[in-house]
Amino acid sequence: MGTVLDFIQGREIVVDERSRFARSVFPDGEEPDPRFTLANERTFLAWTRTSLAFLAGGIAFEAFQISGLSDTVRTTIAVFIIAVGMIIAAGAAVRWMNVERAMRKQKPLPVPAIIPFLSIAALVASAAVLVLIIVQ
Amino acid sequence: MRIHEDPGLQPERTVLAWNRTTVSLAVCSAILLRWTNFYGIFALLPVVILSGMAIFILFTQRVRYERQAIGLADNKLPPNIVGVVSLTVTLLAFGAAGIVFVFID
Repeated sequence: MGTVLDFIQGREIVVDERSRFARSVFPDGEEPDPRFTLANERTFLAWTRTSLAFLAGGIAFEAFQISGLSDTVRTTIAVFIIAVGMIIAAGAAVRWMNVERAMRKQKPLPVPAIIPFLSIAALVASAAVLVLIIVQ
Repeated sequence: MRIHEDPGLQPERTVLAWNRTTVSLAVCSAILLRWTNFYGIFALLPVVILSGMAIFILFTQRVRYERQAIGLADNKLPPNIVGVVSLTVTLLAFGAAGIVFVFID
């Protein structure tokens, strides 16, 4: 029991060393294997680059004129692509945080919500292209 | 001098992932240059912020590597909250600016 108490007291000292922001984002648990923390960071960065590709794509779509496409359609598609990019950017950070929290408590990793979201976005885009091809 | 003994080269891979992200940031900001004709200085602002962030990340890669390698050697590495939050906020602001530009047209 004394060992457990010592352990808890030791933990409290460690927790106090962290910034208030770090404590509010990751309130409990203990640092996982550094390799897992770094793998989580790399996955976040990979999602960030996916998001950047969407943001760049959306802006490029609006900036470069495409013949045979009305202004309304072009603007709608551009906003859709940028919005997908923004949701992926936010989702990447949320997922990074959830995975880090799960690892701190040695729990199973959460199911990713951004993967089905990305699939649905791609599906919608494909359907939109199909419709555009048939209509024109 | 070798800081860490990890055969999986985790810090190297993570620093390279940051490197790839800076390239994406630079490309993304360069696309906005297309809009400087229409929006002038306002389109230039996100370009400066994004490429500034890319340059900042590039010049702090050494600090990032050392932090990761030492954390790996000590078997205690705090998660990179500041990095994740600042990058996400930048991307969201960039996306919001993009949508505003699209609607101003």
